[in-house]
Amino acid sequence: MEATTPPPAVSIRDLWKRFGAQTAVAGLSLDLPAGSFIGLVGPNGAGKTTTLSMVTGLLRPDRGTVLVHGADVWQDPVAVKARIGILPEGLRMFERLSGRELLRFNGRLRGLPGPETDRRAEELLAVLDLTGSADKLVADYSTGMRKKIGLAAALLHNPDVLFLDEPFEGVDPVSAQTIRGVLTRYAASGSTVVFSSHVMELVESLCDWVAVVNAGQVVAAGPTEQVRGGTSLHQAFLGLVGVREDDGNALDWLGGGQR
Amino acid sequence: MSAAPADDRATAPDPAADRAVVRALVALKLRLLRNGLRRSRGLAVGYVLGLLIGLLFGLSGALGLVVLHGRAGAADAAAVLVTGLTVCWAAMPLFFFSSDESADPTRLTVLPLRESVLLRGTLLGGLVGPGPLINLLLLVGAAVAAGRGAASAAVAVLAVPLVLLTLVALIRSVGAANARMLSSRRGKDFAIFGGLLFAVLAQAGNLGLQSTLNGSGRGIDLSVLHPYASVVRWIPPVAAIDAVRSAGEGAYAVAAGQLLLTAGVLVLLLRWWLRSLRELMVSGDSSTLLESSSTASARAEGLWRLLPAGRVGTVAQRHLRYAWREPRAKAAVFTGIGMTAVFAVLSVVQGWGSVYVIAIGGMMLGLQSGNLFGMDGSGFWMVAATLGTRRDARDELRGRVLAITLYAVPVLLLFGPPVAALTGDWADLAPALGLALAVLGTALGLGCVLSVLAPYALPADGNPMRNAAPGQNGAVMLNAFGSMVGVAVLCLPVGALLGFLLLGHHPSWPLLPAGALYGAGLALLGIRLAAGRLLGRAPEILAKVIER
Repeated sequence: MEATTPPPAVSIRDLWKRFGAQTAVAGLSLDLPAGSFIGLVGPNGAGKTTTLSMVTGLLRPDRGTVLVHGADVWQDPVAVKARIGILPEGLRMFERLSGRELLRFNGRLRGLPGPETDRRAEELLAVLDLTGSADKLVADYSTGMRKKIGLAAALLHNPDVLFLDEPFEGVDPVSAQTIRGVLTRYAASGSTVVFSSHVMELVESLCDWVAVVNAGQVVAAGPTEQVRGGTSLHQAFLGLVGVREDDGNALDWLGGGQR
Repeated sequence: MSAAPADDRATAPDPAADRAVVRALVALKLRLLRNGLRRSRGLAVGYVLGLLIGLLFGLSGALGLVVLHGRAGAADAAAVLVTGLTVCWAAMPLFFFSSDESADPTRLTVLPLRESVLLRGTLLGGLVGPGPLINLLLLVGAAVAAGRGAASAAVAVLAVPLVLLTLVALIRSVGAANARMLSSRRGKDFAIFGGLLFAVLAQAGNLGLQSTLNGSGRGIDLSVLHPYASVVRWIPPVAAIDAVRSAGEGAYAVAAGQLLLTAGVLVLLLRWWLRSLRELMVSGDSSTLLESSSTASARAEGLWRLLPAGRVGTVAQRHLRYAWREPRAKAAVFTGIGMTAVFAVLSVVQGWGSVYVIAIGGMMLGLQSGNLFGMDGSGFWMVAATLGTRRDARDELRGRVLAITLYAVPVLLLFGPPVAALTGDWADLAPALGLALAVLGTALGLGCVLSVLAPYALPADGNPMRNAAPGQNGAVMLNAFGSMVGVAVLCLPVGALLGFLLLGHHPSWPLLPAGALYGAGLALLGIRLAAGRLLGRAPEILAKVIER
C-alpha cells in the first residue's frame, strides 16, 4: 500500500465483521488519501457494502477502528456523521415526503439554519434536474430519481467526505451523467469521494485512486494508473480476484433448440 | 451548491440547535401524516371518517366516565379503563408498527442526531395525532371519575400528562424493541406468539366487556371491577390515575408514591427505548441470512413425495413452505388456530359452550385463501409467467387450496374431541365436524374467487402482524368482513339441514358426510370460477399485489 504524505481522509485498521457463519469483512486495513476520487471495487459479495456501512457508522464492526479525518467513527458517531455524506445502497427514506420536503427536513435535522437549507435544497434540485418532480412523493420516484435525491441529501451539509454505495446501479445514462457532473465538481473542490462499484469502465474514467476488495480483504490499492499496471482496469481486476474457468460439459443442454 | 462555512455543522451540544431539531422531528411527523393522505382521496375520506368515529368514541367514553363521578366504584372503573388503554398501547406496535414512518429510526441513521435529541423529538412527535388526542379525552374522563375535591384536581393535572407520556413511551419502546427483534431470524417465531397473543387479547376484551355489562340485570354493575382494580391500581401507569383517587381520600403519601412509581416506569421505558434505538441504528438486517438447516430439509424431503406430482403438488409444497417460513403467513395460521382455541375455551368457561364453535375454526382457516396472491407479492410474476392454459390456472389454485386443507382439516379434527369432552356434547361432534368442513370448503372456494377478483398488496416490510400496505386497511377489513358474511350465507343450506335433523329428532351424523361433500363441492366450484378469471386477470393481479 502506498504511504501518503498528507494525513488520509479515512483510515481503516483491522476491520472485521461476521454474519453467522459467514465472514463478510476479514481484517481489512486501508488508508484513503484526502482530496481524491476513490473507487472501491470488487465482485459481488466481496464485502464492499459491509465495509462502507462500518466506515460510515451504520453497522457496528466486530473489531477494528475507523478514523475519518482523525475522528474515530465508533467513539463519536454523531461528530463523524456531521462531517460526512452517505448514499447507502437501498437507502431507506421517508417515502411520504416530497423530494423538496425531504431535503428541507434533512437540513433542519442536521441543524442547518432553515433559510440556508431551503436555498441549498433548491440549488441541488435544479442541478440534479429534479425541480420538475420536487413536489412528487419520494414513493413515486424512479430508481434514478431516488439516487439523485439521496445524493442531494448527502451533499446538503457540504460534507468533507462523501461515501456512495453503487451510486450508478440501475440509473439511466442521463441521470448517471448528471450525477457524474455533480460528483466531479465536488471532488474538484478538494473534497474526498469514496464510491463502490463493480463497473470497471466507470471507475477507470472517474477515479484517480482505487482499492480492490475480495473476500473481505484488500488485494490491491493505489493510484488507478499503478493498480492497472499498463492494462485496462478490467483486465487487472479479473487478474486480481481470479477468474474461474468454465468447467467441462456444464450447461450442454442450453441452446440448440432442444427442450 | 455553495461552499459552506465550517461552523454550521452540528458538533457540540447546543440547546437552541437541539430544540430546532426536536421541532423539525415533530414537524416531520405532521407532514408525513398529511402527505400520507395526499396520495388518494378515498384514503383521506376514510381517515377523516375513522378520526370522527374515534373522537366520538373517545368523547362518549370520557362523558360516560364523567357521569360516573361520585358513584361507588367510579375509581375502579377508571383504573380498569386505563389498564385497558395501557394493554392496547403496548400491543399496538406488534400489529400496526411502522405505519408511522416517523417512528422508524432506521430512516434517520445517516443523520448526526444525538440519541437524546432523537428521543425527545420522537416522543413529542408521538404525542401528535388523533390517537393521543382520543387517549387524552379518555384519561381526563378517568381522572374526573376517580377524583374528589381540590387535592384530586391538583394531582390530576400532573397525572394525566404523565400517563399520556408513559403510554407514548410504551408504544415507542415496544415498537423499537419489536423492530429489533423482527430484523432477526427470531422474528419468525415471534409470529406464532403474536398470532396467539392477538387471539387472547381480542377475546379477553370481549370477556371483560360482557361481564361488566351483564352484571345483574340492573344496568352497569361496577362492583365486579373492584377485585381487578385493587390490583392494577399499583401498576403504573394506572397508579398515576389512582393517585387522583388517593389524593381525594386524603391519602397524600400514597398518591405521591403512585405518581413517583409511574414516573419511575416512564424513565425505565425511555432507557429501554434508547437502548433499542442505539442497537437498531448500528446493526444490519440479518433476516436475509441463510439458515444452515440442510439436515432438517433433507428429512422433510421424503414427506413432500406424498404430494401429487405436477403443478398441484409443486404449488402445494411451495405454499406449505411459505406458511412456515414467511412470518406473515405463519402468524395468520396461528392466529386462526389460536382464535378457535380461545373461543372454544371461553365458550366453555362462560357456560354457553357448544361443540359447534369449531365451525369458527373452519371459517378462520378457510378464509386464509382470501388473498392467495398478495402473499406472493412481486414474486407473483413467476407464477403469472407460467400460467399458460386454463388448466394451469386450475392446478395453481388446487395446489394452494390443497396446502391449506392439509393443515386445516387435521386442526379441525384435533379440535373436535377436546371441545366435545369439555362440553359433554359428544352426540353433536359428528354434525359439528360436518358443519366445520362445510364452512371450511365454502371459505376456501370463496377465498379463491376473492383472491382473483380483489387481491391486495401486503406491506413490503417484514412485520408479520401487519396485513395491509399503507392505505389499504379499509379494503382489507371490507374484504374480511364481506367474505365472512358471504361464507355464512353460502352455508345456509347446511345450516338448514342441521336444523331439520335436530328439530325433527333425526340422527344428525349424516351431516358429517353431507357437510364434507358440500364443502368439497363449493371449494371445487370456487376454484373453477376463479380459474376462469385468473388467466385473464394475471397482469391486473400482479399490478395490485406489488406494494407501491
